[in-house]
Amino acid sequence: MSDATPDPKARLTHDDILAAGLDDWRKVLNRLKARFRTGDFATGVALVDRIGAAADEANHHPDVQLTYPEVIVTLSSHDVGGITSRDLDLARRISGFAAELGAHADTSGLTQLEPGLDSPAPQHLGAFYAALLGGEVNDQGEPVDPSGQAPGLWFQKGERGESDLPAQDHEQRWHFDVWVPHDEGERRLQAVLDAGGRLVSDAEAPSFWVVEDADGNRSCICTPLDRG
Amino acid sequence: MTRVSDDPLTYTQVAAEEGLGDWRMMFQTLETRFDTGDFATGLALVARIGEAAEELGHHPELDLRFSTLHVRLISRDVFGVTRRDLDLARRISALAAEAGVTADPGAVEIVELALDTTDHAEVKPFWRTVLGYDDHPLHDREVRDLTGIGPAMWFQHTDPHAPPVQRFHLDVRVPPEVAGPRIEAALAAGGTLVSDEHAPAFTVLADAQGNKACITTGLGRD
Repeated sequence: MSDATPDPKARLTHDDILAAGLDDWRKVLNRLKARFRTGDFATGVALVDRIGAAADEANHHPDVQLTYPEVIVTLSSHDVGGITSRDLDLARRISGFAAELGAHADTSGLTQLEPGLDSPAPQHLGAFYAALLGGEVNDQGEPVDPSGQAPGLWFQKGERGESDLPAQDHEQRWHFDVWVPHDEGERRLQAVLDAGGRLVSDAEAPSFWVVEDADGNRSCICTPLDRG
Repeated sequence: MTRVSDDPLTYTQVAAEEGLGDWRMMFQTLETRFDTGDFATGLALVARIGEAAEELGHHPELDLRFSTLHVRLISRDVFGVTRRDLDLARRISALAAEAGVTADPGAVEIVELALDTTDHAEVKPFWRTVLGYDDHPLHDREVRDLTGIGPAMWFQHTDPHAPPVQRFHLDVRVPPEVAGPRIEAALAAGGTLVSDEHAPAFTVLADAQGNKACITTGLGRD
């Protein structure tokens, strides 16, 4: 790697992010996430205060969830729709603040849910779901909720019968993509199998595994691995 | 012996309270969103709320974003809204007013995923695990993200039927004054009205391809 200043507009790959060695952070879907166990509210407020000062200084702002026992921080570069060196820089500083305050990072269980709906004609559905959720339609025609209260939805074009997976005995148009960190996928899969789930397909693992519940309803466990 | 302040309040009881115009009772939470305009204003408000919370010995759940601060109040020991939450809500409203920040409680919503099943006990461990969720402390038919970030998921009973049809639907809980406009917007965007028999508790809609969704409110449920 050269000493040149990285392009702050360049979207980083998952490998770039791993190479940065940010142990407290994980890429989950298209964002960088960390959870800091603060133990009490006052420590959380102190951490958020320092994060805020650093964010204003960098003119780059995270989403911060503050509850009694923990602070969850989510970083992304909205202008390029991905993770950039600006996120890595701020992540590094936030980890420093957490360490100073004695708040330890815990990446286990970080999850982002993304429901997907099968549709032969998804172009007809974006406006409805945007209206339903009080959001807007993005440039891919998918509904997004800028307030962050509703999960992002996506449309899978085509009928279920076109997929390579074994046929189902019922009609399932909604399925959930459950996004987890790269080192959580196999753990989540094993936990699901232990909880009565069945593996439908690991053909695309570790990018995703298809699993189903005892009634045959399918979900995917997704990671950022092998996605280029 | 239980103190009065420990009893969970119903939707109707909270609605009858004075000084809570900024807030909306959702399921087991009292919530609002403040339009802070920029991060520094939100951050300053978080600091003030933190001081008030320490003083009252009762703590909110906060979601700070660039131009909004979402506040969720709940007494987790009883998993409901109690007088402690009402007191904290009024304090937070006063702090926001001092900071010149206005609330937009109509923007609060909670999305839930619903799955039809003949036997929820059989499938619940799967869903709790795949989503990384916990059991709902009060409702056997629900799993939820205790951090409050992910949508809740609940299991709707269905009798056995063959062939099984679409089992998932979305529920969108909104403040009562938002339900009408939200339904109109969804209909204008290509949706159809399936049933308003149970409105305002819930109104069933469908998208252009027949997938169902409900707009729900806390009205008519106590």
